[in-house]
Amino acid sequence: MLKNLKIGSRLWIWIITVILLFLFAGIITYSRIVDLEKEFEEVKGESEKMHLVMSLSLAINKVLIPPNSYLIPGADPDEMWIFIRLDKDVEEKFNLIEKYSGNHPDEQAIFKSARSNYLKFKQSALMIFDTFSYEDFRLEDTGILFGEMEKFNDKALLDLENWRKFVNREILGATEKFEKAQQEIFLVIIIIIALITLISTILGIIIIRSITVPVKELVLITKAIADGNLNKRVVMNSKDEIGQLAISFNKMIDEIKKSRSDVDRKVKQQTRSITQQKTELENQQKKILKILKEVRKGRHKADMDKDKIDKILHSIGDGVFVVDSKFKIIICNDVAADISGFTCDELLGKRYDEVLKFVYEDSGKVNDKFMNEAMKTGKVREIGNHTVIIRKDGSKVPIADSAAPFKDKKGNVSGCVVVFRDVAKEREINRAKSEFVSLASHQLRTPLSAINWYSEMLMAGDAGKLTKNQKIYLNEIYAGNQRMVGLVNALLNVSRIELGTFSIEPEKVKLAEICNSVLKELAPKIKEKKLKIKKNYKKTFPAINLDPKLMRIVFQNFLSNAVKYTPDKGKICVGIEKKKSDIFITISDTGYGIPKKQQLKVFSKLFRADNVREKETDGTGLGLYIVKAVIVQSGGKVWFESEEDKGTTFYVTLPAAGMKKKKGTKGLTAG
Amino acid sequence: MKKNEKVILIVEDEKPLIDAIKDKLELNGISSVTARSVEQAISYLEDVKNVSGIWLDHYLLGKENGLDLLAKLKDEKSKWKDIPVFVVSNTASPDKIKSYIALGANEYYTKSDHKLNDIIKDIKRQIMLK
Repeated sequence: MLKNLKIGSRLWIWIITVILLFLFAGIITYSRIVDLEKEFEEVKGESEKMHLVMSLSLAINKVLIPPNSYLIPGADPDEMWIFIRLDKDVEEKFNLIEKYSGNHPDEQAIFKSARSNYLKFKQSALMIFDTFSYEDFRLEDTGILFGEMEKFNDKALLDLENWRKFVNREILGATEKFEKAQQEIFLVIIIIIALITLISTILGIIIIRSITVPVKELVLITKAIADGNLNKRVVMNSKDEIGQLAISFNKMIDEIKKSRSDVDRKVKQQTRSITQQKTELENQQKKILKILKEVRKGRHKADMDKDKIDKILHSIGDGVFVVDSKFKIIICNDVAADISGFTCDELLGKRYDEVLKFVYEDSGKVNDKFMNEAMKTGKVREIGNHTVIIRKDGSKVPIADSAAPFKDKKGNVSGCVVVFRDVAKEREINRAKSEFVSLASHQLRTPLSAINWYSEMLMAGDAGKLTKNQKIYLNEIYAGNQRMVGLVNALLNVSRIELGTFSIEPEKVKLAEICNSVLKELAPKIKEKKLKIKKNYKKTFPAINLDPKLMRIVFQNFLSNAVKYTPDKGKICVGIEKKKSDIFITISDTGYGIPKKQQLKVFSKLFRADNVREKETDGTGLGLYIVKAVIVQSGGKVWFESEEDKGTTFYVTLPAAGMKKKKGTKGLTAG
Repeated sequence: MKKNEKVILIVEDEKPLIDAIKDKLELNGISSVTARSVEQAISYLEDVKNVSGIWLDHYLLGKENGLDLLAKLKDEKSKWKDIPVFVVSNTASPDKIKSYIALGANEYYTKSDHKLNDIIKDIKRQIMLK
């Protein structure tokens, strides 16, 4: 039953019980004390009474004296007053005692007797006084009075004595009672304390246990559950807080158990799927490891290839550098570094034009044309002629070569490879070569000039008249010398063409004029062979920007060939016309033609076809080579059609815009 | 020498050519003095006062060449700047030709392109005009 109360209530019960017990104890004690007090009062009362009785006795004793004093002759009349006073005192005391007399009959009797005796005494005393107040009093008469008086005084005193004894007895009795009551109280208090202690302790223990025991049990079981045993349950039948706690706790455990089993189930599920995945992953891992191995192999190979490429790159004799689509240098080799004066590290990562300054030699302006065009058009571009690179230390090095862009998979230009070399030495060599050629040609020409002039003078008769044969021989010498001169000139031209050192100096040129002039030169031979010349051009053909010397060479070669290789009475046609953006020159003859088998070699050096070698020994074999080089360099084309013994037609096209000026060390020499 | 006689200073290093030129000039009634180097040429000019014309080759003996001589001749303070100069050389480089003309040469002939007779006749004509 207790267990169904709330813990708080239980504690309140205990407290209240204890309080009530104390109250009860208090009440009992109080009543006992009241009793004790009563007894004490009684004792005190009796003692008081005793005291009064004693003092009354004294007073009665005292009151006897004044009358007794009258026994002695010469008594003071004031004694009567004293007596009255004393009497008053006794009366007062009697009145007092009356209040204390109590209800005991014996006591009442005694009191009454005492008083009556005293009254009688008093009467007697008063009679005495009265007697004495007469003048004629007789002492013998008073004797009886005195005796009466004394007798009653003694009787009163005896009563009082009895009373005193009575009171004494009362006192004793009351004192006894008092002591008894005292003891009783003592006992009662002890009992009460014991009872209270016992009851409160027992009740306390019960109530406390009613709390602690279930709590302990709860603790034990919850501990067991917390330790993992979810199957235990708290058994508590009480309806108090602990019971509710137990119920909730059990519920909680149920929940936990349920969720645990849920979790377990889920975990089992997950574990199954995880194990599955794990095996899958393992398989993947194996595959990846395989792939990694391959990659590593491939990388190793790539590294080796890279090393190979690096070696190759650095052993290339020319400077090589590669830029990406943002013109930043991503690869460079040692030669590039050497030429530019920077180290490879200084070059890598920078925009090429920040470190490699390509400038035009003459203007000093930056040459980025080759790079920009290459990147834009995706085609190889030459680094322009007469480009120098400004080294790190500011010195200039002439360079040549090209920029080749490369494309990515989509076909967009993603970078450019630039190859360049120091051409200073090349140039030096070229210069030396052309100097040599110049000097050589000069050295060759000098004796030729001597022979020329002396032959000339001889033939002119400056050294005397000549015989017929002398003239003939001299002619041969002169002719031979002229051929030699022609050959030397041709060789000089060829060497200039080969060295690329011949210059083109375009000016407004009237082709008709040059052609006519050349024909005029050849007039003697034309006349001799009776050849017909047809001019298919107008004198008014507009002036074109061409190098007159070169055009002269072109016409000289074609026309002299036509004249040379056409038999007597043959026909030669020359045409000059403008077609769209080209100038068209045609030179056709009805000559020996060129055998089909040898047509490919026609433009090569020192070539003379078999069919004409027998017939004409004159000719250097260099003419057409020179002509082709000139025309090609001028931006034109040259080709021919020919059939053996029927004739040959040579075609030349030149851009109507004319020749572009070409800087060279020398112009070509006309034959 | 006769007062009206024309004198040409031939500045040429090749001996055979010198002789040919000298002879041809004489045939045309012109006398000549020859120098083979710039130094020689200058000393002759100092000595011979009435030089009417100068035949100048490009390559000469010594360090200096025809251009150097021409430059000296055509210098502002030169006494000989008015003497016509005919450059006759085997080198036909357009640069050289331009330089000679720019410096003040009257004519430039490429030896192998012309007959000696033609050159001499031309020179004769030009100095006769003076």
